[in-house]
Amino acid sequence: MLSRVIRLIVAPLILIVGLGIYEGIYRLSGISAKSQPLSFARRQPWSIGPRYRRPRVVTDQQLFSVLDRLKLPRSSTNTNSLLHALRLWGPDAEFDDEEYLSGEQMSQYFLDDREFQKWARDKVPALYTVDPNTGDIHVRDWSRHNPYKTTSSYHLNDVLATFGESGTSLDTPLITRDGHTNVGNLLATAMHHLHLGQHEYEWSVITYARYVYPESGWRNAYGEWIVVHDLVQELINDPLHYGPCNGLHRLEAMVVLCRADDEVDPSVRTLKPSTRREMLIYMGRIIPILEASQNVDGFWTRKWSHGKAAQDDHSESLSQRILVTGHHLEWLALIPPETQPQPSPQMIVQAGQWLVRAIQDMDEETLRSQYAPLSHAARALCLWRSKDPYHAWRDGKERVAEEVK
Amino acid sequence: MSLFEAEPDHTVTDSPPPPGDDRPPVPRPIPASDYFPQTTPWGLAAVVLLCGIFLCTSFHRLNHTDLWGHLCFGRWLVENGPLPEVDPFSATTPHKTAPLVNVPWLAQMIGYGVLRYLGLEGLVLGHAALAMLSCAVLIFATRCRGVHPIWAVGAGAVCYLIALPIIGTIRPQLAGLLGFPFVLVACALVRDKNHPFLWLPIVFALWANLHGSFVLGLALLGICAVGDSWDAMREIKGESAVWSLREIRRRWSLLLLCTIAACLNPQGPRLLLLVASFGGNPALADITEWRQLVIKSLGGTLFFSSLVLTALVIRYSKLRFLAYEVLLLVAFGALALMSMRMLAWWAMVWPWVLLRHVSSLWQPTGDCGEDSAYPTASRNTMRTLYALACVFITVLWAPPSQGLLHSTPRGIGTITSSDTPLYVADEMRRRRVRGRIFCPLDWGDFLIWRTHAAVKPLVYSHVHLVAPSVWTDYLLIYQGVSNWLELADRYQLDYLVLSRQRNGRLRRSIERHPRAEILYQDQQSLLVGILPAPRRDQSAEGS
Repeated sequence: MLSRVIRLIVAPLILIVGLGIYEGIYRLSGISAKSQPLSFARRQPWSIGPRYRRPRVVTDQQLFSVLDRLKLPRSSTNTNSLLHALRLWGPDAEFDDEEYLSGEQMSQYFLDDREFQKWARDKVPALYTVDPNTGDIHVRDWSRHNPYKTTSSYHLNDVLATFGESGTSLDTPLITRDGHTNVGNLLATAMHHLHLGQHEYEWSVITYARYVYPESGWRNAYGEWIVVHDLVQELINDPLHYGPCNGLHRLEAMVVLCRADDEVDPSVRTLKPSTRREMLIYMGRIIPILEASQNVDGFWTRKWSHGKAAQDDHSESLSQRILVTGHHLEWLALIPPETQPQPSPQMIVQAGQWLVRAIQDMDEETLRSQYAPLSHAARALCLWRSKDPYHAWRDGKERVAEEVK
Repeated sequence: MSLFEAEPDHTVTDSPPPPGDDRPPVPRPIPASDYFPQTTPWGLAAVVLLCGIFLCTSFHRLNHTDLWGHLCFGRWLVENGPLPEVDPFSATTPHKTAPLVNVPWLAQMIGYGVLRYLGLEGLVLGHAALAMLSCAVLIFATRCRGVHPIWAVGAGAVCYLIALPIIGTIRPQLAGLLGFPFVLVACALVRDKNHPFLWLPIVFALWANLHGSFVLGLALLGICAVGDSWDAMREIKGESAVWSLREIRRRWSLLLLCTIAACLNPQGPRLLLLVASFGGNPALADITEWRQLVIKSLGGTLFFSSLVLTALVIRYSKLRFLAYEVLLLVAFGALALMSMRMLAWWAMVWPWVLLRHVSSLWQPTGDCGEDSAYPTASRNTMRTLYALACVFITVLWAPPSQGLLHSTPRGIGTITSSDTPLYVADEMRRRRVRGRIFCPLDWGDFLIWRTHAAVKPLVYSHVHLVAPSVWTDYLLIYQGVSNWLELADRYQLDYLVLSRQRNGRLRRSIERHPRAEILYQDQQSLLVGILPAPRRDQSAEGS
């Protein structure tokens, strides 16, 4: 009887002891550390500076005249315009004129709800909502019939990407209607909820590249494993023209990620050479298409991905042409030097000169309504001159003042 | 009888010496003890198979379909007590839905309890455990028919393979799939043993509250009783004399007892009629798993292959087919043909019936008892250690047990199937979306679950409760007909949740529609708000 009872319990007992030993080894070996949440060791975003200096693309005088038209008037309460203005001018811009928003004011619109309410009017819903249970911070997003759409964020994570582009530290306080937090918590929410089924990746990848890279491999809110390679695949797997602004922000996200990869020490890089090569091949594939699709005047249209056939497209408005041409010049200004083929200088100069003429000739009303694409164009021109937009404008203004004297 | 029971056998002899070697065989000592369990080769085979089944099933992700609806019912029962008389989760008004008869209330509550205390990993673990146990009991049931152990183990493997299209989803039906082989055990033993009279009624009393498939268990008992009675009548040529046979009386008594036990449910005996009429709703004809079996599908291929094998066994079997065996094959074969979902029952009945005959083909005497064609089952300690190692590796390898062991469960995104509308549901919760919605019916359950029943779909997986007119309108909206908005207004829908893949036409209509507002989209789905209709005749009313 005793032997029968022991025979019954000995096998489960061995199993339980074995599992106990395994669990002990597992905990002691620290394998479980792999599932720790993502941490942001670096508090400052990568500064993605210009790569090229081509004076023929735009002269100093032309650059000043373009930039001077793109100061944002105080009356503008469009979140998207403010975001693009902050991206263009940075938080330190001062225009010596009460009529235009300073960089600090633009920055505070996004960092302090009291300032936001002041500009966007009192009854407008908050830009940020804080989940009281999780502490997650969500940005109010755009929808077509929303009465408050002009004060909404237009694209997923575009506010964070702009914070990154304007050098905002993760420790910067963020004052919401629900209380005080910081930009780091906004980033934590964005990365925690980033998933591979998103409709828009562009600004998420830019945010990731600026703030998080070379950290790679974390579990998101759904327990999915997110690595930089998968993010790149999401960027390069869609058709060329697919995505906001005709797919051109995807190219911007790629060049920013490549540039962030260049910034880090090679020993800690997590972007695999093969993945980087995939991006370079993707971008290299686009250069001949751009050479073929550029109109003789220098602009591109929304049909740029059609190649030579796009040259005959005369149906688009001026602002559409500026949108596409400005975005193209912007990502091309950051294209890694090892991309083959490289864009021809002639193509860049033609596009730059067309943009200058188009913006100079534009009437004030169109300029206000199309502020976002124009800001991309202006930023692109600055990048090709290796100049900071605000400093370029300030230099231009001093030069004009001296000429007047 | 058992695969595992063994008297200690401390030695085995090596294989016979080669011809010409006159030395007697030398006994080879093997480590053994009276206090250590010993395992037969077939026992080890069974352990390996069951571990394999557990492991394979544990890699299945939780399906996005009716599992979540059942969990919703379980949550409701735990939080609010008995269910109302109408479906609490449907967007359609009470008079448009059939009265709610919630048969699997116990399974739903158990499922919700498992989820609450063990999380999603607990559900996956439960799924794997149920699939494994069903096959284990089937192996035992087949062995109870005197089939050689290796064929009995084969029955478990064959059952899992054929039932794979059905068994891959955790749902209350799995509880039925565990009850069914118990009935097979009872059918095999009831002629000689008394104990099935004790435990089988308990199985039925539980089963009737776990899933409606208990009627198939009763059908199985009934067929066995009818079949045996028929065979007895043919043998003794007298109807009244049949009842004098003890084994026949026992079969019918067990059926009667189990039927009475099955009436121990909230509906009482009425449940038998309600379950029998379940398939009457025309909407079920549009649901894949209720459709007829087609040869091109995986289930169809497996089923028709099994039919071919059946024909071969009938041709070559050395045993006479008993009446109940023929009746079982015909009845459950016909059921599987009529509805793909019934394949799971065929997967159990078919090997149970057929392997007795297959086993006979490998018996020189045609006897199904302990065979002589196979080597003697040497039971030794090492096999027990191998079996333990197999179980150990399975536990470590199986994702749910790993998650539970380390207290680091995988997230919902890696446990649920890729068709689960996870992101849109999360977004709906974040936006505090509530009201009536249209969504693909297979998404409805998960959306109800994730929003804590704040949204009520026009149709979700409980299609048998939906009025035919509602079902037709649902299909029209799903297809994106031109008057989709009129239909949406008829049901006062507040939101539409669309699948990018399946609702392409409707999505194109919506993208530019003045009364449709895309609130959220991802690569899988769109959340669309329906704006109120403009009040055109407001001024006329005012004047």
